[in-house]
Amino acid sequence: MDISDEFYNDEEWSSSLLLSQVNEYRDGDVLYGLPFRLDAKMFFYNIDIFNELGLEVPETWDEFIQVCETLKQNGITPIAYGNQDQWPSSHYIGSINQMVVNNETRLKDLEPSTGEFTDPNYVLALDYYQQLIPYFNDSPNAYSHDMARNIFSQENAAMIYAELVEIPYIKEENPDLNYGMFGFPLIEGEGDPTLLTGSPEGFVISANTKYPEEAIDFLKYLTGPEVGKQEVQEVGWFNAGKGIVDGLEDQKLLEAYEILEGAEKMAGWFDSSLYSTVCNEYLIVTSVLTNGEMTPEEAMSKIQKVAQEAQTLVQDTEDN
Amino acid sequence: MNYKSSNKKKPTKEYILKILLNIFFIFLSFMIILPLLWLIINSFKTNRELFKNSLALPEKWLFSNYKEAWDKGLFSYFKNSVIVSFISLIFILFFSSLLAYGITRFNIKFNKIIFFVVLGGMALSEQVALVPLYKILQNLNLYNTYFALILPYIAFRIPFTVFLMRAYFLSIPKELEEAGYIDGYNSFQIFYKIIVPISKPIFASCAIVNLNFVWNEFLFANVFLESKSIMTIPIGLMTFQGDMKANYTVMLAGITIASIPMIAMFLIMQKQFIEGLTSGAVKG
Amino acid sequence: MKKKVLVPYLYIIPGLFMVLFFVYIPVVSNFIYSFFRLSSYSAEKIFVGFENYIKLFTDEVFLIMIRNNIYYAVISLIVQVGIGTMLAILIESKYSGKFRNLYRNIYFIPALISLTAVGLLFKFVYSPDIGLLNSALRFLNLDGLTHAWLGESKLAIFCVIAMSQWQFTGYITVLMVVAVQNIPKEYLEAAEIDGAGPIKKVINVMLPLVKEQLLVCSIITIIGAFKLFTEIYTTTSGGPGNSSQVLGVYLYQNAFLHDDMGLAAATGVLIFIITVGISIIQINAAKSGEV
Repeated sequence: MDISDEFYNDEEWSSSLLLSQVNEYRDGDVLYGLPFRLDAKMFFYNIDIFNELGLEVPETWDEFIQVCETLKQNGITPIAYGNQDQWPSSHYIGSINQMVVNNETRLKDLEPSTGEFTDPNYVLALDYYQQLIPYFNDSPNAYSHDMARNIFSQENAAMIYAELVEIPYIKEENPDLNYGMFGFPLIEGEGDPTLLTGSPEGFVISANTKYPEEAIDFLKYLTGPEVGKQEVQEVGWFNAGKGIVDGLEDQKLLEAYEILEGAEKMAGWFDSSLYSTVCNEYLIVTSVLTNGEMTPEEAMSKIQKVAQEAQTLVQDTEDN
Repeated sequence: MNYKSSNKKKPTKEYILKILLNIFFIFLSFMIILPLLWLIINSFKTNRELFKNSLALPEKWLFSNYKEAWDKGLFSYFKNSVIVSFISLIFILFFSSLLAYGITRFNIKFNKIIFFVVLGGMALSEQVALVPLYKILQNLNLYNTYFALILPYIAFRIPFTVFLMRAYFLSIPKELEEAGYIDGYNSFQIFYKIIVPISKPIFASCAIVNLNFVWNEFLFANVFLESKSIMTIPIGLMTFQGDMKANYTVMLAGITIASIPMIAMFLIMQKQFIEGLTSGAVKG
Repeated sequence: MKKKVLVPYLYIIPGLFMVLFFVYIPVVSNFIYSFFRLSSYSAEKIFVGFENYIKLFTDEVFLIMIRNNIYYAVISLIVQVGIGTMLAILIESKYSGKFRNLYRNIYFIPALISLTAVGLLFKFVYSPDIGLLNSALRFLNLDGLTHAWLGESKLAIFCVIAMSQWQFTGYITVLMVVAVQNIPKEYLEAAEIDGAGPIKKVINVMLPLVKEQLLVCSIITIIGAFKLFTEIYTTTSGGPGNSSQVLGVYLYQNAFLHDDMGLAAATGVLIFIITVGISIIQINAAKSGEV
């Protein structure tokens, strides 16, 4: 159900939510839902370890590699990474793609009917990913993402690329952990560095509902600041309500909220943005590449093949 | 020890062999039990202890892990498994025994054909029926209900159960029934007053073998159920793993809880278990 | 008299109906579906002839899957059936002592645990940092033997196969123990009188007398190897990459992840042909020994 009229015309309503997050539920002029759980991906880092080695939070890719190198030379695993379930790699690749691939090209390729993935920057993105491999724990494919996060929480690794919604989990795993967050290091490229990797989950109202007014009222309540305050205090997650962190003491959550507040545009999750067969291929080749058994060029040529097939598949379904 | 032979060397050799063999058996037992032991000791630890040293004994035996696992999901999964298994089992035994009765006690023309058709069902595996069953259940609006599992379970276990029961029924002497008919019983009364009581052993064996299958069945449970509230243990455990991302030791407790019932049943009813398994011998 | 003719059918109908409707009809439908392209969310069907089969046989994963299923079958035959039978013979020998049933029970217990539970447990056991296997190796100062197990493309499938051997060897042992117990004592005594040593006794006398049961065990093991699903699904999902992919998981992923039910159906038909083929052999072999 399109609620754009109800939402945008109601100033009180539309000013109570973070519009950058609401926009994730827009398709053209249609607003079809509202966010219930915001999320974004950041690098979490162990402040104590950084301080011990006199490290500063890296901002560019080169600074980041330097930090990793220092950590490794001091016998500390730089990045905890568990790719057993294959989707974590898509967050790395997605974030790098955002920065090195021209945004229009990237968006065109995400569409199965026009997706080609022939831009050489995709290969470049995998090259960057490969640069990180020596700084991951050994055999990332043998660990699940949760296991990797536990490794980070138990202070056996200095950093992890994780989602903001995992803050409550880290708290459970090690409440005393002194950690902070920073965004994916900047890579100079043809893409758009202002995009934040992530996307909210939310609720939509069926167009066939028999109770549109009640549904809208409920959605307004559920995704609004009042529930948001409860959500953040009891579960540690945010909805798009403004001011929901007033009075919150948890430093990490406050930091996380600031990041989301400051985001101009979200870039979505790479794996859910891709067409299923293309996504499958991307995950598989990256998994093999992570084991050092495939080159970026080989990986992309496989993806290009599947993208071509996807084009015909989608076309046939449309024709019929 | 009685030495039958007068040759002094032979008994010693036998004794040594016995000791060697037992050492071997004990070693093997240890290797088999080791993963289970490891599971159990870690299920009583805190998460941090697990990460420090998974081979060590727990500092404190956290029975609370088990309570947490039970409350946070295992209770519900257990309940669902019991409901689905119980109902499925009743109908599997009921329909199968009726079917076996029908084709063995009456000389109808299509005895053999029906038997072979039913028997043929044994060769058809779940994977092959998966996609169409999914569609059928959706169309019948049974998807994501207990019946989404109960009906396929009944259907897939009837062939093997009929196979076993028919063999057993064939061995029941006709005189018993004839006595019943003379007493004025109709065929159904003969069935439950005469045939069933005398078939207790085969009913027990079939019950156990089918219970083992239904209790541990995963493929259908995974595909045909969506709501946590009706999930059986096999699929529930997977969901539980997702829920317990931050608490591995509670998850290990959950795995232990899920495994106890069948093991307990086996230890109590060893004889029937093994009898059931060896007649026909078809794996889960 | 008409009533009497109908009565038997009344007993037969419920069970027969269930089998026809929920087993036969889906299997036949599966054949039909394999010639169409269809999705899980719509009722649309597009006839595509043999396209799904061509896709299946030319998929680069195809050979990997068949290879994995075959590895599974062969290794399970050697370990579960081979070693399982040896264990049965040893347990039933006069040297095993009074704890023989205890041993038998211990070896059997893993078979009672749900495949999901075993899969989740072994995912832990194989975990490189905290898992039982690597921890034990380090404890024994065998650090050099530690591996990433499920994370290594070349090892993953073998790790899962090993897990299955742990779980089911005892099961086969129990089946074979019963078969060995049923060997009439006269045969064994006759062999002994003829002066046969223990090894000759086993090979020339015992094995031939349990050959039906051996055949049954072998067949269930092979069929199980091609129907494989849960073991892989709960541990590796076919990964890393595609290295541990098998037919059953491929079917499931195509049906419910890639929305390609036609391809899944074609895979189902292949599984059907393989398992029915093996079942036919079983039924014929069992018939030949039927009393």
